[in-house]
Amino acid sequence: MTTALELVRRARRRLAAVVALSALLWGVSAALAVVAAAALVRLVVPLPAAVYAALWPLAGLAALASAGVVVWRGRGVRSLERVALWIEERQPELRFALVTAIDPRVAPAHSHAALHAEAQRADVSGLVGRATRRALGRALGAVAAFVVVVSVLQPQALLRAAGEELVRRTVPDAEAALANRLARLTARVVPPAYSRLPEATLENPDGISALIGSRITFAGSGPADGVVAVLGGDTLAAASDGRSRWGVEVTMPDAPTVVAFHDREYRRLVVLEPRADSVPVVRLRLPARDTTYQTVPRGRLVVEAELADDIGLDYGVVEYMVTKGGQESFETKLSYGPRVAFGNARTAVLREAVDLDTMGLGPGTVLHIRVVAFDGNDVTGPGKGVSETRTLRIAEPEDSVSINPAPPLPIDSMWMSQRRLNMKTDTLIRNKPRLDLRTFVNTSSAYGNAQDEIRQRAIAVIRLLEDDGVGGTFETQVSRMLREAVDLMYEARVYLGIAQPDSAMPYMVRVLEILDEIRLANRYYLRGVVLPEVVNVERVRLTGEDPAGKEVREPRRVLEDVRLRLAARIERAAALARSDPQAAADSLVYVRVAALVEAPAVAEALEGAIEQLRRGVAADSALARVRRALEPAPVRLRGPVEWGGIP
Amino acid sequence: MSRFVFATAEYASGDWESAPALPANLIDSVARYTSIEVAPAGVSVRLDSDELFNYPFVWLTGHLPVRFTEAERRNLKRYVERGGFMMVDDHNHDITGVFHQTATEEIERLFGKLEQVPNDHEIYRCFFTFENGPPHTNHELNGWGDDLLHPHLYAIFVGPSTGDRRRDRIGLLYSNKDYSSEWNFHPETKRTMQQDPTKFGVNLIVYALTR
Repeated sequence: MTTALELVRRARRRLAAVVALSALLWGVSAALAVVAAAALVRLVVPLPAAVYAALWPLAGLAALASAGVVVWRGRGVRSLERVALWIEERQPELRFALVTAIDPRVAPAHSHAALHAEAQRADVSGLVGRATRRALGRALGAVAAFVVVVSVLQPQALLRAAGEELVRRTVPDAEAALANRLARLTARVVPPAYSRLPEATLENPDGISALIGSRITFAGSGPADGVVAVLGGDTLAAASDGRSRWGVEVTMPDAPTVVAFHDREYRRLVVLEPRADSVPVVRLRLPARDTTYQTVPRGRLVVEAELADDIGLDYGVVEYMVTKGGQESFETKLSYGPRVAFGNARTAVLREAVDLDTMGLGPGTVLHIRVVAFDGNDVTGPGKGVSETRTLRIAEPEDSVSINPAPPLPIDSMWMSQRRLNMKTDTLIRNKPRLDLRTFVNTSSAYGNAQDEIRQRAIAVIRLLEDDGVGGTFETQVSRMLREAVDLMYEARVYLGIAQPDSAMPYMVRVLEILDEIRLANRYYLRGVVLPEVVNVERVRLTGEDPAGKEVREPRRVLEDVRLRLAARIERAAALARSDPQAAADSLVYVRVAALVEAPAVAEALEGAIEQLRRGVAADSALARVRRALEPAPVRLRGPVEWGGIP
Repeated sequence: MSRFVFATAEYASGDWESAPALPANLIDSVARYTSIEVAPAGVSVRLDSDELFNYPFVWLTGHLPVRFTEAERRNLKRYVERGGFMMVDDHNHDITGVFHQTATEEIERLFGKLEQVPNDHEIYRCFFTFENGPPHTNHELNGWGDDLLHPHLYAIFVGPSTGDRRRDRIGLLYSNKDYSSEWNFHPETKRTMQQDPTKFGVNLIVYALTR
């Protein structure tokens, strides 16, 4: 026979199950309600990413809260007394017999038989059954209602997007582990130590420009297994850093190249654009120009140079090369001044005074001076920059350097004569008020004759310079300048002849300037003019005893135009732009690497096109810019071409 | 079609005019063995002038240090890269000599490393055939200069380089063999010679004009 206590215990177990099941159903209802609400709102306005990220947590919280309320309200099932009282409340005719009967200390069964009999008449089972139907019926009703709503709203896409957003925000590693591990890429660029440049970290780079020799560490989220980088012919496996990230380290090569990352079916290209460390630039200030000494120079010669480098200068030194001898026998001695350290400065001035007496100079000696600078490049260098060389020659009484005894150009004597004439004319102009007219006119006329004499000498030099030895002429740079001077001399001579030295003076000043330019520019003073030897071509034509010509000769091969080759590759890639923009972008990346060396302007234009293709937007205009960059640069003509001529 | 004019390069340092009879000698050989229209006299052209670009073949030689000016350097680079042919010959025939050391330094600074010309290169076959590469000179055979027989010439190759095909046209040819001494004689002297030593010069010019 079932005791009162057992009845209440059974009722408690069933009520506890009802509470639990009810809590679960109300939790599900609450979660569905949140999803349905979000789906409804999404129908009206787009949801921000934050809402997506919060949707799943919000639904969970709603479910927990709802279930918690149900559990809280049913917390009485923990106590037998509360369950008995719950029954007594619904069956008042028991008059607390059940509550009393379940306590063996108050009413033991053997001494309170009547009480227990009264308690056992309680309809506990029916009471609990009704309560169960009522509670679970309401909860199931709510669940069914929300299921209907949700099924109408079709929130699968919403839930998937919310889940991805939540994963992306909360578990970044998980995304890469599951999805494309190349989607988010970082590159840490460590320039070579000698450059003293700071490290840099680039997010999602498509191209990296850095000094040759820089260490570049690419990293991404997720495990390293299966991620590889292909650089040239090498395949580098990614290594794990122990924190759910993979990494690959490469060194910036000396030529542009592409690093292709692979992760299963995913691929990503990054262009490596090496930046060369420029060699130092050295500009020699002193000596200012080449010189020919008529006597052996003595004393100290100052050498001064400006130095500059894009990264930093290490040291510089002055180089001296003394050459003696002639004909087939020459002796050269190379020596250096003290090394001057610059401590990685970007610009510096090197100044040194050399004692010429210690260099063993003599007639016929040639002294070459230049400044050499080195940078601190210990990766591809050191970079060596040199200045122009100054050539200081010491003349011999009979010039041994010249192998052709033609006379030296009389430019110097002409310059001296013109200078003296200019000074005398200037004096004549100043003395004009004190001179009588006849003296003034005669003097001016005599100066006109002197000017004409210089002009005739200049004309003779022009003839000498332009004579090709076979009756023809060819113009040289010096003869061109001399012709201008001759024209000016004519004007000066005319004005001097009519006693107008004031008007002649500007022409004479300009003549002197031109002669000075020629004199200083004439670096071949000592050697004179080499007169070409003339061959009687027609006499010897095809008289050789060993004529060739047996072999078939091929015509010159047409040189391949780099731009044509690039254009063909670009058009092939552009044809893909509509159907597969990513493939087109990948192809253009490789074209760009080739163009970086061969046609930098095209490479620059390609960068924009690649970027647009990557973003999935129309790249027609960017590709048009690329095509324009492929056109050769326009040629600037000096003037209209001759009739029928081809520029 | 204009005539071929033999040009000698004038440069600021050194003795560019150290082989004055060589131009006439090679002009004579070109006329003697080929039908190339050739000017009867050579010219000298400044390395830093625009006139350099009028001449497809330029001879550069000397004994003294070669230190180009910036303008010369710039012009030479443009000249070689745009189709010119520069023959640089060490008149010292001495690889320890100052011309060799300074000239190669200048060239390599401008163009990168000089490359050995294989002895089956077309420059040895484009007119006369030289089975063993560059012909030796009397100066080498007599042990003057560095007392070496130089088996190869060196060059800066230019032209497009695509795929497996390397740059293969010679833009600048460098010689330690001292052809400047070997060919620096009056053309009439050839009448007394059993073998004309200037035939290789014809190859150089034919190569420069046709490749």
